[in-house]
Amino acid sequence: MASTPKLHYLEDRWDEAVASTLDPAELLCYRSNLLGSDLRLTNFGGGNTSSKLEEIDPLDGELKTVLWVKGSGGDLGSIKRSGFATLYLDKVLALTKSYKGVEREDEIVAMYSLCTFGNNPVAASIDTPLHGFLPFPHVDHLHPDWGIALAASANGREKMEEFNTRFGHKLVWLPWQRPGFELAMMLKRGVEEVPGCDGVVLGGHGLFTWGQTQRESYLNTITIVDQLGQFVLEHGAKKGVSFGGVKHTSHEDRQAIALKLMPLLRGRASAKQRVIGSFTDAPDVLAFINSHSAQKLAHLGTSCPDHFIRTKIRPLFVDWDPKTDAAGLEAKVDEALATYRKEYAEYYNAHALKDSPAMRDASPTVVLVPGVGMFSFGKNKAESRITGEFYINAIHVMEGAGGMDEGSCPPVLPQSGHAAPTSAFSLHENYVALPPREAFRI
Amino acid sequence: MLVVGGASGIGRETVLLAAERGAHIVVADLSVDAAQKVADEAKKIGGAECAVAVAIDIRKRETIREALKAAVTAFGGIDILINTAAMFPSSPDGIITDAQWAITLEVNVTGNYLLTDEAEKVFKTQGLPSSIVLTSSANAVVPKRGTEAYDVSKAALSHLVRELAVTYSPLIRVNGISPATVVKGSTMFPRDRVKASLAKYNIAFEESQTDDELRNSLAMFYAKRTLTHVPIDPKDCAEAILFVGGPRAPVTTGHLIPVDGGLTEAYLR
Repeated sequence: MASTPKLHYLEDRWDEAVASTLDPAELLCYRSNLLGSDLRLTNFGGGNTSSKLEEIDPLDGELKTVLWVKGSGGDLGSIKRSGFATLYLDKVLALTKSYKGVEREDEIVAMYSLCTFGNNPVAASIDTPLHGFLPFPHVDHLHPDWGIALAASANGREKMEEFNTRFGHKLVWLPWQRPGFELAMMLKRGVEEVPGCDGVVLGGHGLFTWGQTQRESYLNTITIVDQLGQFVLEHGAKKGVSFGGVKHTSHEDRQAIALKLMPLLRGRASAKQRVIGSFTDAPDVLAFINSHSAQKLAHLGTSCPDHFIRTKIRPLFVDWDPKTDAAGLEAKVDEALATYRKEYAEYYNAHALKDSPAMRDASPTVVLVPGVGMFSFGKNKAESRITGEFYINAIHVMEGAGGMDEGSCPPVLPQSGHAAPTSAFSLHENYVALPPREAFRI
Repeated sequence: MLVVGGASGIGRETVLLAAERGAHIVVADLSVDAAQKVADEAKKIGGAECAVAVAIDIRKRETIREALKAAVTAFGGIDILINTAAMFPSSPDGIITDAQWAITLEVNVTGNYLLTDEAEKVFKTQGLPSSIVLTSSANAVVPKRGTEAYDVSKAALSHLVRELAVTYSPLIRVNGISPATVVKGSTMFPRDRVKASLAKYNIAFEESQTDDELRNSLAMFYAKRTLTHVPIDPKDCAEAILFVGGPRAPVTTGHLIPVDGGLTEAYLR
């Protein structure tokens, strides 16, 4: 970029005085911590970063290119040097010779540990080859709400081209493919086919950006995400109405109702194991749950794999009119829960294979009550809180996609591809949810 | 879990042990500042989000309700209610006033009833197997002179445990612990009480001795009266509370676990 575009929402927090004192691996940590500490850039624990660094191989004393990539688990905002996996890049690239195609892509995962550089016990994550096969020294893969809003829009590809023109970018669109070696191959081909591209939108999932230096990667990432924010929010402001408009108003006594309802919901959600609960009636949650489209959108489920892992296939939506007596809520909850559990079992039975793990607990982790708020559950307080935060990410994605709705839908969805045809996806108001079969396979 | 009396003594040790074992804890006490200090200690052990502090006065239903609301707000509900809060009436001359009698029964008996009555509503709404542990005393069983108000209150509390176990079954188990005198860390051993006890037992002491030195003398006297000959530590009581209140005693209810060094058997000898 000729000059650094002005950021409207994000801040450039890079401090060269700090960065200049760091060695390449610590600089990767620094970049990762900056990116991960801003939840507008990525959800907690979501995304990963990498750098391809030259290091002396302890085995033969020669200089090798080592892929440093965020290890499995962990959070970018707090990651330290010891949280990164290190792999011989040439060995990762050579895995194409062992790759037996998408039907057997899970088999290649066992090979990642064989590519380990040094005595590093950190397990390589499923996204490792995605970073390896992108031919750029420093790569960022993030899940910004604004980015996923675009990635989960029925007109997302068309809107991406509009974005490219408006902001002078050359982002590439890839259809949905579950994270793994096949997606790495698609990324490799995608950037080869569009020389000079400066980012990739993964349909239904997230964003890849990069740079020749750590600083350039960071700046490119925050700039593109900020511009995506400008683009998505401008569309939303122009549209004026979110989620099909307001259906309910928030109950005056919603805090008191929530206090009474919480132990009941916790009890129901603890059918298989005890969970801890959290509650929020934040404005963006209320705006969603009080809307005409809330029940329909909630039933579609989330799009980004990271969101889905915590929120499950969908939240429990309690179809209660806040203008009626709160005494009727318990019956409504139990009615909704019976349907939820039935549908969960149907979803499991429809997609489980012989070697699939046993059905997870069919209790919801997110419960939405119009007029009141969102209840979220997890095995500890942090998990319950983060699960709620992830659903708020999902709300932002649905809102962003809805804001770009222009009333028409392409006959072939841009998220569709080898992994899932258009018919496998469900959508409402321009928001495209992950197909249940794909969600099951994650 | 909700630990009432969690700011000191047995309650504090229960909070800290529970934090080690991964519990989420509401630390409730008359002094919210003292409760907060223990909650902060628990967080260093169990993580930044594992504990909160709240004020409570078990004589007042409204504060009990507020403490339960704090538990629901923080963690979604409660699985175990533990009360270690109690009072021991004392005076320099050993004579207990009518007012002291009344407040002893109010705190040690009625307070426990109010606490369990309010908590039962949360337990019932949750519909999950739950548990209550109250703190009685070896004094409830072993008669002696000079501490009638306290001892009678603990005898009543022991029977409350048995009756509530019946009333709240099958959803809620109710148990208690009956420690012999726990001197260490207890708020029930102010200097004047310790001196009165030492005098009662003809144990020599000097006015120049510190509170801790006096407490240690008394604690060693009590210890020698047991079979195990070691002072009862608040940690011993915490272990018993978490055992009988937790998931490893799923079919124990209506019982009081002695944590007394074999005191009653020592007396029979």
